[in-house]
Amino acid sequence: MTTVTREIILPADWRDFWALTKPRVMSLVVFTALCGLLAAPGDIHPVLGFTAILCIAVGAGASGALNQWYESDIDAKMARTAKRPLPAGRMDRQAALHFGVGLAGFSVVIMGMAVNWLSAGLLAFSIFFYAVVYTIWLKRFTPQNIVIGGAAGAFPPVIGWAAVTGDVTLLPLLLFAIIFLWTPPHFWALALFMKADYAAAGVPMLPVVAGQKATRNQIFIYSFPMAAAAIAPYALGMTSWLYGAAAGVLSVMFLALAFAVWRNPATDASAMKPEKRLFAFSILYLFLLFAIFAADRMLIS
Amino acid sequence: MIAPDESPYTPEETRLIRQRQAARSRIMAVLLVAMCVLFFAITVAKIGFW
Repeated sequence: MTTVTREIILPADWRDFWALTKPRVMSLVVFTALCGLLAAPGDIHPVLGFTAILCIAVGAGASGALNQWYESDIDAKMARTAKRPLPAGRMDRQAALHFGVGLAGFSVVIMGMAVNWLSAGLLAFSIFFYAVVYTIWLKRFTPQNIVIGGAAGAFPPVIGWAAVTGDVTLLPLLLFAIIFLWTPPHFWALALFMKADYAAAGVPMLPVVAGQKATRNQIFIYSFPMAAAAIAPYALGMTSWLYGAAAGVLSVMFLALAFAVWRNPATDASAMKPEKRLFAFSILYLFLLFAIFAADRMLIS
Repeated sequence: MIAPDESPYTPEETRLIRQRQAARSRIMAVLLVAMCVLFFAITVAKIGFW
């Protein structure tokens, strides 16, 4: 007896296209971009401001889609990502590629025509950086992947600023530096308690390649320049004491949690409470820091 | 071999495919209308009418 199995090709559900854009990552991108836009000196027409944020969000969605298109083989091997539309077999790869390229082109062209070409150029470069430099060149080949790749996530506030002013000055570069230096401790904390997943997928994250002790050292070391970058806008007289105090308190809390990670000898994920605490707090840290920064700048102006 | 007038899908599969196509079409319609509104608003804002 012969059993015939037939494969049914269903059109992908719209929710799968939505999932392809990594909505949770997009929310943080939109938020930091909005803070950059609100903190910039000068005015932007509300419609154009909305368009700028929309284009940044769509550009981030494009990056997420292109990332998932290229990484579907890795995603299939990790419990955290195995249910994404491509590894789960709910969408074909070509649809994801077309969707990503389409969103990228749309966001950059609209940004250029409606807002300005500097912000459009920065948006294009940030998509290229995430989809090509990070996803294709770095992620599979070096444990420094998220250190350099962190630059992709650091662009949104600079783009938001450039949308208003048409230039890039020291302050948006400091915002860039904050996210750039925040990314390694944030992701390495995650990588410590998800080490088995990354190892199974063959991704050379720092805990897999250099070990947990070295990763904890790096988390603690990176937290210092990150804290310095966070306090720098106040130290350089670009914000009031309100932001300075918030940045100081939040950074001390971050350092205390990074210190707890540094002291934790655990090798098993179940005993990695300090790492999980630091990971959760790092998201709150960035959110509060940027919210207070934007509020402070708006109060000053 | 499947005859030209014969669908390769069962009625249940055909219903599911049509359902997904309809949902995607609705989303596309909403997005196209939203884009028209956005382009109109951008144009008016750039002209300086508002």
